[in-house]
Amino acid sequence: MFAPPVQDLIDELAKLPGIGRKTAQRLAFHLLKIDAAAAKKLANSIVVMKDTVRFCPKCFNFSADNLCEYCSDPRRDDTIVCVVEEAPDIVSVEKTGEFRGRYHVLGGAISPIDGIGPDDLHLQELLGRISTDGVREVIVATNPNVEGEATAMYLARLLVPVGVKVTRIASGLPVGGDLEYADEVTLGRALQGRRELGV
Amino acid sequence: MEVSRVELTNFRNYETAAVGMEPGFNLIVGSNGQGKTSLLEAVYCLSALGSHRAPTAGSMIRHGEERAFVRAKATGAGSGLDVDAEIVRGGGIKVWVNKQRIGKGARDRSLAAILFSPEDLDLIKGGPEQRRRFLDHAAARARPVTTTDRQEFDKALRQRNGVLKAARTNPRALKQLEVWTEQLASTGAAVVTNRLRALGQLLPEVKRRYVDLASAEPPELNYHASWADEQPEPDERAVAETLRQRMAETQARDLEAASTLAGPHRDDLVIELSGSAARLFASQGEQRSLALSLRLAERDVAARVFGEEPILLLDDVFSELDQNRRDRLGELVSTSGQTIATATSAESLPVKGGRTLMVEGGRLSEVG
Ligand SMILES: Nc1ncnc2c1ncn2[C@@H]1O[C@H](COP(=O)(O)OP(=O)(O)OP(=O)(O)O)[C@@H](O)[C@H]1O
Ligand SMILES: [Mg+2]
Ligand SMILES: [Zn+2]
Repeated sequence: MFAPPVQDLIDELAKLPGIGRKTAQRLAFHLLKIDAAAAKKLANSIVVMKDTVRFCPKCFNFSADNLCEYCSDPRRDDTIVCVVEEAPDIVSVEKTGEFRGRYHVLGGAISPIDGIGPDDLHLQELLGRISTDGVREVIVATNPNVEGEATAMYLARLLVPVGVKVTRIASGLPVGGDLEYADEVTLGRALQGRRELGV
Repeated sequence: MEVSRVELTNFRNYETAAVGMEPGFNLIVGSNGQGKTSLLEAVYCLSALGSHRAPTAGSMIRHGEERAFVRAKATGAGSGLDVDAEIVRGGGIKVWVNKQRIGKGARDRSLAAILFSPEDLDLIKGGPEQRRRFLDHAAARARPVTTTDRQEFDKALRQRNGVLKAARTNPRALKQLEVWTEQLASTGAAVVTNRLRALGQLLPEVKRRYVDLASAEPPELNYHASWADEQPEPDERAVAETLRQRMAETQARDLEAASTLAGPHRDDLVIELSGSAARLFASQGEQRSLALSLRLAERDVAARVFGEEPILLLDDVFSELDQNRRDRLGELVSTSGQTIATATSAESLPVKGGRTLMVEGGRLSEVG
């Protein structure tokens, strides 16, 4: 046990994702050493962020106004929704220029060991959008790891019964790179997920 | 594959050392604690990108130093290979092959080496995890993607156990049990299939090597699946289906135990000599011969996949074998590829020719 103020900070830090007890301690001791101005700046930036950045009530993207830019754009297709884990993932999909539908941010992926279950994600809200917006297809763009896959499967089991087509993005090779330099695992997976070519 | 020169800096008890190697047989002799194993470890870490006897690469750095370096010149597939490794305390090992940095997934671009060490007796005597890992590593040698398969399975297992644990206090957690069972079945099926395929390739070589070495009946090796009554076939879909069924059947017990009771993480590779489990009944020398046969088989399979034999590193192998087995092993190493072996004395070693090096307190010198 440390002095109560230090212990409090360690407890708070340890609640953050990816931060264990040890790391929390290390961070707390580091913060103990930095000068007061730097510490205030850090604390303040957390407060300001919480006060100013809002979430879009429809898709849970970051948003300064009420609805975010993608939800309020009348030219986008309501019937197709791309589901991502976190808001920054939208930017990645958007950069491709391949998608003109709407988005939905889950706020993570299910991960029992981190205490994140389906109820902690924005799933009910997505389900609500299906009927109100007339969604016909949901593209699941969660991360290609076991948590992302489990979340995708959970979504499919939720949505297919209500008549929605659920698709999963493919994982594969970085385009423009040389096959020779692709890492073995990426290339191996790309081979496993190969598709037939038409003639 | 052959290594022709090895240089060490601040590696274990070596301050600086440089040594040339013959294409055939090389013997390192020295008393206990002089640096024999360390030299093999140095060659091996260029291949495995880690130590065989320490969980962290940092242990290989000479006490009181911050960094260690290993360099090797080798030839593989007819072309030259310059391998450089830097080990930093607390920072792991970095390896460059012909000046290009390689990661764990690209080990096959570096030196190829198979090491047999006294600890390998655990392959026979130890718990099932040792043998599962042996199969997983053998699979990964030819197909790097299998390492990811195993990592994903481990993750899915932890997650499913997490659900089982959470369900004790919070029944809502059960909502996601099904998708984790599904993840466990699909990632587990990949792991099991990789193991069975690896076993299929190893099996004839293990038998052949053991018969050769021991002049005795071949051993039997069977994959015992904790979730099936018979050894499964390497068919990923069928395995996934069986796993799925089994986990559905045992769900109630899994919940009670808050852990997944049957699955690829509870499987074993059962090795038998004359019908009884080698783990329990085989003699010391038999167990050692079996472990050695497993490693030699690993080398045989790798040789087939890559078209040339990995360097064979034999740590202290001759001491516990009888004269017959020593002779057989001697024949083997003098007729196939490159071998670097250690012994406390060169006497009564059956290998003729080759180079003998002497090591004393981390200093190497050539003998006559
Ligand atoms: N990181 C290190 N720094 C310095 N010395 C080390 C380090 N790790 C081990 N040693 C020492 O290096 C010496 C050589 O160890 P090594 O295992 O290579 O011996 P060996 O010749 O194989 O002996 P044996 O015949 O007993 O197996 C030992 O005295 C050991 O204590
Ligand atoms: Mg030794
Ligand atoms: Zn929005």
